[in-house]
This record gives sequence, C-alpha cells and structure tokens, in this order.
Amino acid sequence: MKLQNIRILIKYYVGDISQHRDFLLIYLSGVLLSLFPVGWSGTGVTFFGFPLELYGNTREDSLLALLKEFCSWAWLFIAIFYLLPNLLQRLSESLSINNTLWIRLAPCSPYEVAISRALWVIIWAFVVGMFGIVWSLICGYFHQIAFSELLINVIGLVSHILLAGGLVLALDLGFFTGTLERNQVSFLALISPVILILFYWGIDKVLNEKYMKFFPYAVPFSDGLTDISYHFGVTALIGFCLLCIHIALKFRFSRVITNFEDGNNASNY
Amino acid sequence: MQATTKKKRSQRWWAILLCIPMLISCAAPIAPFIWEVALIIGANLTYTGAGQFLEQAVDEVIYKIFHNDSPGYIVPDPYNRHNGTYSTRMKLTTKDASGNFRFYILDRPRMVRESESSAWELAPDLKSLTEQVLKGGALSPEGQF
Repeated sequence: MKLQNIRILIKYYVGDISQHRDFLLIYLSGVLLSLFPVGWSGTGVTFFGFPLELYGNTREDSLLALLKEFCSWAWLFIAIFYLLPNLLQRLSESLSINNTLWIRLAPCSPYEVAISRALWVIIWAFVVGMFGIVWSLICGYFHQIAFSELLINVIGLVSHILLAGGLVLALDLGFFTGTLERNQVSFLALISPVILILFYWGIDKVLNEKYMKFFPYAVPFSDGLTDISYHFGVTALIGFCLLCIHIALKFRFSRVITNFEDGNNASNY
Repeated sequence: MQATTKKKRSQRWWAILLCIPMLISCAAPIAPFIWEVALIIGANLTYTGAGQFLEQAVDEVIYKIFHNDSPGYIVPDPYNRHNGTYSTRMKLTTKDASGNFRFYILDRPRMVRESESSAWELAPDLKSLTEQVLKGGALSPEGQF
C-alpha cells in the first residue's frame, strides 16, 4: 500500500476549496441568517421581526427549536443539492466498469482505491461536521444558549453521510453496473437513513423492546423523538462498518501485481 | 444499439407528468390517501418557523403594496348589514402616564353599527379588550407585546 497513491486519488476525488466557493457563500449566509434576524420579543421568538409560535415556553427552548429547525432545512438542502450529486452519484460512478477500467491503468491496487473512496466519504462527513460545530458554537455564543443541544442535528447529518456513502460502497456487489442502476443505488442510499424510521415505527409498535433505541435511522425535524442520539450514533457506526467492509472485500485482490517496474520509476508513465 | 436505448430513456420524462393526474384520479383507497398525506404535510409546514415566517412575510408584502396608505373601508356582511369587517389593519395609539407611546394593531377587526345610518364601531368584545390594553390593564404575562 502506498500513501502517495491514496493522496493523489483523494485529491482527484475531493477537489480543492476553490471548487466549493458557492457552498461557502451559502454557509456564510445561513450563519448570518441564524444570528441577526433571530431575536426574542419577551413573549416569543421573532425572525426578521415577525413573531413565530414555536414549542417551548422559555427563551432558550423556543430559540433552540427555531435553530434546530434551521439546521434541519440546511440538512435537506445539503442532502439534495450537495450530497447526492457531489458525493453519492460520483461515488457510485467511480464503481462503474468505465471508471474501474480507467483506474486500472494507474499504478493503484484495488484496495488503495477502496481506501481512498472510504476516506472520501469520511472527509466529507468530517468537513460537514466541522462546519456544523462551528455554526452551533457561533449560535450558542451569540444567543447565549447551550450549543450542545444544537449539535444533535449535526451528528444526524454526519451519520446520514456515513450511512449513505457506506451503502453505496457496500452495494458494489457486481449486480449494478449500468449508469441508470448506479444512479438508482445512489438515490436509494440517500433516502435510506430517512426511510428506516418507518421500519422503526412499525417494529417498535409490535415489539416495544428496550433495545429498540439502538435501531439505526437519521431524520431531520427530530423534535419530539426520544433517544435520538442513540439512533444517530448507531447509524454512523453502521456506516463506518460498511466502509470498512468495502475495504476488506477489496483486500482479496491484494495479490494482483500492479507495478510492472520498481515504484520509483512510475513517473515515466 | 446503445444510442437508441439512451434516446428512448431521455424521452420518457413526460411520463412523470402523466402520473400526477393518474394518481389523483385513482379509485377509493389511493387518491384520498394521497390527499390526506398532502394535507398532513401542508398542515405541519404551517407550524414550522419557516412556514409561519413565509405567511407573515407575504401578508406584509401585500399590505405594503395595496393597503399601506389606504384609510381602509368596511365590508358589510351580505346577510346582516349591521355587521361588517374592516378591510385592513387598524392601528390604535395612545400615550401613557410616563409619556411612552403605546400602540395596538387589530388585523381586519369585526365592526358593528346600530342602524344603517349610524356610525360603525368596533365589536363590543374587541372594544373592551382594546380599552383595557390601551390603559395598560390587559398586559401579557411578561409585560410586553
């Protein structure tokens, strides 16, 4: 295994910060929207001066409800406009026959490619989580509320990314090879963490076991749901395990010799 | 071969549009269920902060465009000419003992009158509530509006 190959592949996959300038602009405007227009009128929370009727009687409760809702809208926006086209569709595209054949021309072994794909997902989750933590710290400092309450939606988004990316990689079983099928897999992976809550509600009504709080799902607008951090944490853990499984499955090709010459002369190609 | 299948796929987008009237005109269990789900989603959207903000922002824009300088008029009820509704917002202002302006906005309040020729007045319950508020009697628990 060569770290240099992985580094080059990740640089190709993730890109640099100049490609995500529009995302940074949208993030900054979102942060500003959750700071200055949000206020407290004495009886209720206000947004641009308009009074809103939200859950919670105290100032902290209703501000937290509004900011959590903003985070949920941001979650939906990121999932539809950034996660699906920029991560999941490109991830499933990288598993297609065309891309696999192309990458075989490079001196990378299959498990190096697998590791770089898994790191791609993890870097996405890490960066989005960092942006979320910075947002919640700024909001907590500006409004003087507990920022740890705001982190729950950020954890949910991170676990959503991990599980969706893990599902795309784990479904690389050789059945879905065409472009349309790969797109369908990426869409299925996008909605599966949300769809899982329907299974949870169905099973929970029948069984009502105490272990049901470890059932994986990740949904925005999670006000009123109980044990939400367990569900999100298990989702992230399963996504991480799926990434590890993808890497482990590619290790069966580790005996394939990809360097026809000594490693130092690879620059001739 | 590859090109022809691709062309077929790209022409099939209108099938999604066709699905909407087909689903809406479905038989008993399906179409009412779709309407019910849509209504539940819409009702819940009005409870979110973004939904409430949009409602009030649209109201504000309409007020600013159409009713900003208008003095307002009263629309009598079609079956009872002695009751009616004010067409826009009514802003009532007073000055309290400490010299602060205190104002109170009624959005399209109900109006009543004694006879066809007499002047319009606020509905009795609104009138008493307004008087209390302007005196400073009926303040909300935190003491602000």
